[in-house]
Amino acid sequence: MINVVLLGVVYILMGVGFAFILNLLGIFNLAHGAIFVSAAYGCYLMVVKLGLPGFVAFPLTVLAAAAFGVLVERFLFRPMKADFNRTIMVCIALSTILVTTFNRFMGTRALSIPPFIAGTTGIGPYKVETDRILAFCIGIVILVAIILFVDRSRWGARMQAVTQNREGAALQGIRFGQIAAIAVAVGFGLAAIGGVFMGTLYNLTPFVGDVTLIKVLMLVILAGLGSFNGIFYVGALLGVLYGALPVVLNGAVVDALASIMVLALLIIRPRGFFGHE
Amino acid sequence: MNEVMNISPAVEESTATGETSRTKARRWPGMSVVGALFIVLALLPLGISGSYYMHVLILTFVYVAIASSWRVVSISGQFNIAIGAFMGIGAYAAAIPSVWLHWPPWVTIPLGAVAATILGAALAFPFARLRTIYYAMGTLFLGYVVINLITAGGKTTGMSTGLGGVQPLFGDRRYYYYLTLGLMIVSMFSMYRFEFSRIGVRMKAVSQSHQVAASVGIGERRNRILAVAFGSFFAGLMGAVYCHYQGVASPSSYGLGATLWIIMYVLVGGINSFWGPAVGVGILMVIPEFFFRDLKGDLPYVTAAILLIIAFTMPEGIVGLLKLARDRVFARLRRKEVDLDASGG
Amino acid sequence: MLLEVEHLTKNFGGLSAVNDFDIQVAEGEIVGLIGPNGAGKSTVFNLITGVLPVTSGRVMFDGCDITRRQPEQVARLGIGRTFQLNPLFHEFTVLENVTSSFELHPYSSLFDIFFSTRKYRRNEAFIQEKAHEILELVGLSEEADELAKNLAHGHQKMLGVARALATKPRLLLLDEPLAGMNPGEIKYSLDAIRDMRANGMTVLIVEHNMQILSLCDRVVVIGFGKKITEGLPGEVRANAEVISAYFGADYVC
Repeated sequence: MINVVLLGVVYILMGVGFAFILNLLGIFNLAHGAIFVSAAYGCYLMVVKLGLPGFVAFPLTVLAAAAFGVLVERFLFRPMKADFNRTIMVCIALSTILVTTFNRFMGTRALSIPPFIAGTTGIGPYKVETDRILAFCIGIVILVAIILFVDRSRWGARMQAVTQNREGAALQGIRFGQIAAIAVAVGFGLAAIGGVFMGTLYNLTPFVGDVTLIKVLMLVILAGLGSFNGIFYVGALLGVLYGALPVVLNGAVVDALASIMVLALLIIRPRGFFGHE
Repeated sequence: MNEVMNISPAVEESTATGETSRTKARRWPGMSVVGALFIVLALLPLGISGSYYMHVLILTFVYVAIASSWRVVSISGQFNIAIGAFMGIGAYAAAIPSVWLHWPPWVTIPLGAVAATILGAALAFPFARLRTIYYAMGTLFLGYVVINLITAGGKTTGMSTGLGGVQPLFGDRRYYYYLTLGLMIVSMFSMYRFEFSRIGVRMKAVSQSHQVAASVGIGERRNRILAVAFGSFFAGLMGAVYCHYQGVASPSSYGLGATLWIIMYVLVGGINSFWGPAVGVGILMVIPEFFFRDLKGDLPYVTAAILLIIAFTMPEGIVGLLKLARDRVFARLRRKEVDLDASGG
Repeated sequence: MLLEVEHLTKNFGGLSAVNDFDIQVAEGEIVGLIGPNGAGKSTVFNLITGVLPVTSGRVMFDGCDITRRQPEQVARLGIGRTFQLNPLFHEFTVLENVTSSFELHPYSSLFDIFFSTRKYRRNEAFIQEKAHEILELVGLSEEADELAKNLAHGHQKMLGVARALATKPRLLLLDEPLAGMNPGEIKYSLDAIRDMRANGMTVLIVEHNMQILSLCDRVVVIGFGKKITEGLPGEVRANAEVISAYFGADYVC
């Protein structure tokens, strides 16, 4: 049960990060999966190789990912001037470099980040690993923080302005470069959080990223391109789907079912469940 | 701001002269280069005996045709992220009868091409409702569904490990070389006819404005479906041939990753140029395999570096850059002529 | 009657943009459809040409029911049109804009095109020649090799007309041909439309510029999606004052 919920949280984190970059920069960040994997490996290295405690390694990873996001925005995304073809080239190059690096130096062997807290807690016979509960709590806190950030803060208001009308926002003196840098930093940071969670809960290989990227795309499309709130509902739905259904069905069948659902929705209602016309 | 203002007239001028000077005479030298290249490729097996290089070239021919077929679909304004899946449909439509029914390759290969065409046209029908990014995402998931169905197909499709034991066409690799070279030339010729004729004009019209196209009698849906069916035919054909050559059809060769790389070939070469895909495959496949082969596992770094260089310096790809250079040269020559005329008169 | 529209109605959600609207156009006639912004003029065009689905009512063209036809089928039957915002094939040259519009006649089948048969080559040569003639007619032959997006606004409008003419329409729908033009261009366009009339073309013009009245055989006034009045240009011009008194001075420009 907690796995299902946690999976949902991870998808939502990834989806929100992806949507940040998509809505503000108009970039389909096909490197999102690679960032996710890199963060998981980064955290693994810090914990296993450097012996840092999880509570230090986790925030460090997220900060590093966010900093990396700022660099990527400045030196890779901005020079492409939002040209769709060029940005996907850059994303694929970035993704290739990251995945190849981990493939070369870590091997394709499945790894797992050791749990931050050992042991289980629970009521009566129902016992759950403590770190899962912790991860769930952290995830929820971060999601709430993101919602507050977008809805309440000045930066959030600016972001919404840019999403709606970039030229209009520019006329109001909002500097697009700053907003874009923040969006990519937040996007990468969220991907990193998702990556670390997945790394502690499941096995980690350099190729997990591709699978996750598909799920994220699925989520963003089901929610509706440009929709933000939809991601929370649909993320929960996908969490249930992928957390619970593989118990009774073959994984590939679940994938096929989910993607047929996406296709049907796209054809009937291209703007997604929560997109506006 | 001032700088921008100063540049713009010059830019306009160069595009304008580029357009006016698009004559047959100008296309001539390009065509003779292509012809010479084909002759060299036809004679190459006499010179190179290393079967590895031959393998790379076979792979190149297959992917030149497939990448070109993707571009042919894209001229109608459809960013199709399911090309790998159509290749896979062709491959499995050939592999399944070959392995389980022992049909001869000469039957299964055309079967693969036809299956991809029919499925392409049938699937294009509902997708003709979708445009731009929605179409791209729709086809992305279409590809994903196809791969998942193959993976979930049980013993018939061999699941995720792939279906082995596809009967080979020939014993000698050289015959494959000539077969794929021949098929590539035929495909490229067909696509050339397709694009540089009224059909291509229709496709480009639909991609620029479906509304205007409809007002002059060019139906959007029919032309988009035609483009997908035409492109899928070559993707399916080459997919089928390639799977007979390899002796195995495996889903990982047709997934999202494979499709994205096909698109990368096109973007590197230049999406707005007919020879772009061929050049792109040449750059991304031949150069790393021929010259950086010693790097082995580090090879992807080379491809990634190529991608970055192209993205940063050539927005229109390599052929786009060459075209721009050509237009500059001709614009300069023209200006000289005008000067001479002026001084003469 | 070449075009007969009966009880045409279009609802967007609860809003009715066109309500029980009738209009007839006879062969060889030039009919003006005038009214203020938002009266539903362009919607009528989009309903006739099948761009928007009709809620109820009937559109007959030359005795054939075209109410539920797709836009390209309507074009095939012989209704050519221009657009208010005048989209073009921006990446094509002016000449290509016109040649690409010769879809319907002479007709080449896919087989002819792909194998470049003699018929196809003959058709294409004919099209090139005709396209130059049309460009001559609308005064764009100088710009034939220019990209459409680089043209001046007035020239783009004329290119839109040239494109519609290339479909050899039996009925031509012009959507605000004068909008956004300077006085010189307006005079030029009025002359061009007068030429069409001399050539026996049937035209239905949507405008809110009253200068168009002088060209029309008959004028239909539309307001809030309904037909208000119909008559000869002189009558309507006299009526216009009454109408402006009812609806405010803005109503008739």
